[in-house]
Amino acid sequence: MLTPLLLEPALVLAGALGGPPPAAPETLALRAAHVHVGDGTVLEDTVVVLEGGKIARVGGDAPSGVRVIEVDGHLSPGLIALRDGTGAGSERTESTRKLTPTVDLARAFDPEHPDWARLVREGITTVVLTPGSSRVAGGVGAIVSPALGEVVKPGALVCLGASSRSLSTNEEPTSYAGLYAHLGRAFSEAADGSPLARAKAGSLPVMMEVVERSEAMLAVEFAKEHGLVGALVGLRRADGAVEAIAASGLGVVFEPAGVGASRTTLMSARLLHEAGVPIAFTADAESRGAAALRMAAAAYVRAGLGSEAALQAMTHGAAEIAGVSGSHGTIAAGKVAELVVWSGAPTDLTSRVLHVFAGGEHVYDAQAHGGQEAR
Amino acid sequence: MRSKTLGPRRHTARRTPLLHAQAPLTRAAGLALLAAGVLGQTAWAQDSEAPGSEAPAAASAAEEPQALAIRAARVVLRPGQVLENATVVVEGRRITAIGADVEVPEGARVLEGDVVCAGFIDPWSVAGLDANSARATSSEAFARAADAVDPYSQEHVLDELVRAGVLATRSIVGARAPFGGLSVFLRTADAQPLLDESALHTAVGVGGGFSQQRSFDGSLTFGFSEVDPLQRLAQIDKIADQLRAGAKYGADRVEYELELAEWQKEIADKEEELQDDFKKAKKDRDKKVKKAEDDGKEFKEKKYKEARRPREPRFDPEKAVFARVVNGELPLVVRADRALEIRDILKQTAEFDRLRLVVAGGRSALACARDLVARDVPVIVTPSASAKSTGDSLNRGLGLAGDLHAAGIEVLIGSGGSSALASRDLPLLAALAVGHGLDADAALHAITRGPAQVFDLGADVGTLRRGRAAELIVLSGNPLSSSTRVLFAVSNGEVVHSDAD
Repeated sequence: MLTPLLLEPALVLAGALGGPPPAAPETLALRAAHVHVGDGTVLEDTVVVLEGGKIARVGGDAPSGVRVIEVDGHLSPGLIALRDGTGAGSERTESTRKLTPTVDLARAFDPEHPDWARLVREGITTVVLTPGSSRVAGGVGAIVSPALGEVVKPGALVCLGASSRSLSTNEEPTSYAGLYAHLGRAFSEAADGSPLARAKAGSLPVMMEVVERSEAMLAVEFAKEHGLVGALVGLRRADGAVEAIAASGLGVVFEPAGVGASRTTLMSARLLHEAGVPIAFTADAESRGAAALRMAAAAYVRAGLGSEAALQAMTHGAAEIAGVSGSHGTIAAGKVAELVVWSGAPTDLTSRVLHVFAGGEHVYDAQAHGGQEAR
Repeated sequence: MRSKTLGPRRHTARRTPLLHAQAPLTRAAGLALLAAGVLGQTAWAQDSEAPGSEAPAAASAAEEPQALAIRAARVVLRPGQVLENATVVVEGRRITAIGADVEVPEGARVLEGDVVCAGFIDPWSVAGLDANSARATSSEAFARAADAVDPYSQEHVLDELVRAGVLATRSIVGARAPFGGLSVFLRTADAQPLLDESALHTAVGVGGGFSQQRSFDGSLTFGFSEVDPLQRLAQIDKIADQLRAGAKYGADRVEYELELAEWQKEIADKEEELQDDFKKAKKDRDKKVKKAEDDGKEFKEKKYKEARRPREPRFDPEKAVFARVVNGELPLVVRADRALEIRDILKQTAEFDRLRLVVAGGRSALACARDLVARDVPVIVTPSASAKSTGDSLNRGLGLAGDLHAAGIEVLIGSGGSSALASRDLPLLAALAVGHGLDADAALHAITRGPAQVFDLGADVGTLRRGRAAELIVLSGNPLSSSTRVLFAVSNGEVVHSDAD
């Protein structure tokens, strides 16, 4: 198994950041006017107690003797970026081979990369580091914490490319038929305990990259045939395919709709959400910038997706797709203490990130940064 | 519900002949025009309209739309100036009253919302234009974006802009050309120009060829290759040279007008003199004719020698445009990002004291803040999620708009013309700037009043005031909040979008 081997370097790196194993963070309580839980609900005037890097309690009074931080604004779970390559550069792509399903992106994590601070400043506390888009089976994504410089979960989900981006003219596969032939063989030949075998058993989620609806339909078929769970990533429009996607049980992860995105794309998120399909957004901060995630969410909100649904897509929905909803994505007892304090509603672009907590620690304070983006 | 008038465009709006901008010379210009009637030939025939053609293009529609009474909890007259629980009355395509106790005209349609404010204006857009013209990599300074307006193929795009509350754009052709030409100020709801020629758009650092590059993951990316530094400096020199040439051209033109007027006056004086002394002159002539007959000689008519007509300078459309720019009649927009280049542009253009310079882009403009403030140069910023504040302290990333505003620079926010649909996301871009440090009122100013003022439509749009054109939006919440919906859009006095439809 890959897991223990890969965890080690990550821990060493994390150690390098913070010196010897840090003492458990202090217990503290946040009292916020609005607590956006992440699952679509909002609690008013609620106390959240953080203890030992976890959320100990939500609601009730602050325990005595504990520092209470009054939050004059909104509290949300830390945002989750489902596809990102910050700091990984060419490590994301084994350019001579299209199928490298056992590569773990945890190895490509560089906790010292300066760009991570940008993501944290935008409220992103959890990132799924994934292989580049042009592969067929580029490897397994790793869940990392940019604020703590730690690998949270290596080998977290299988990344497959089933869009035209994974087709070439001079290298196999050159057609969708060829692509699925390769993919089918890789799945059938997968050794026990390997990522593809675990994906087939339903114990490891997949993210299948598709752009067009026709590609989505092929991917849905393939997922059904191999019993895959997880999500389609990068779909541009879902109109006409909503029922089939909903029936497949797969989620849909949208790429950040940049400025000038088409209306059909923007409307698709709402259609899928209304049909009960879990939705999320990729971050792609390495190419689109750290603010792209929230920019995308705001664009979808303006196109009619509800504010809480958009926040859910960046928190609980993303955690579900990444298979970490047990520990991440909502403000609930037992979850990791990853929280963001906003000056206004989290999905409103005019809101500013005031504080970020990760691992129960106060890792970003806008005031200490002079309210500016300088670093 | 959208009514659309797709008739032939009116090219009238406000094309003021060069001379009108020069106050001391208007009399000479008047004389010249007067003389033109006499001589059947005019210097400015290609450019002049009847001086009274200042009526807004809006007046073209035949019948008046239904009067509107718009009630809202907050009426934003202009950013920072808000009336609570007020009504805006629109009659005959104009705002006729605003206040808490205004009389609602009989038969008026009543609209209700949380906030009413001026429609958003994108000062840097390619909306409403033929896509190829907008993307052109080469263009001329005298190319008119008004000639590239394409209401048919762009209808769906313009429709999305209206739904987003973006009711006007300053649209440019040749977004990738060093000299983009004359931008058009477009009303998005009906693709009619509010102002045919609103500014000369130029750019430093663009115009390189089309290139394809292989990125690290093996995929091909296509884009415009960068222009090298020397070429960029040459582009700045070219702008400065053209301004100088334009100044000379304008001066020559003015001199010609004066000489022509003088010449015409001389002729007129002579005519008058002859008229006055007609009887005496006839008598004298008769006498002379008789004398000649008596002497048996041939009568020689005394010839009147006319002074030579001054020579008209050769018409040059490019220089004519730069002459208007030098005069301050048209603002000059220069797209530039690097601090060195912005500083160079400021230096090279310092001699033209009537020039109205606007910087577009301005990624490192903060480094030139003092000069920009001293010269009163506004900056059009395009907030972008991918804008990184690099280790380079000159580049402020997303904090740029807030930093420039704090430094005292007038900040406008534009979509940057990356695509026509980008203008739809103008309120998102403004919100992004607010989320990264820009004051909320300044952000609203940057997409309403600011663009209107900088590009000469401040007396008509961009603010809500009695007498202004009815270009406004009714919203469900704060203008820049992401969750706010545009309930109604009113353009040219008509409801052009209703959220309920």
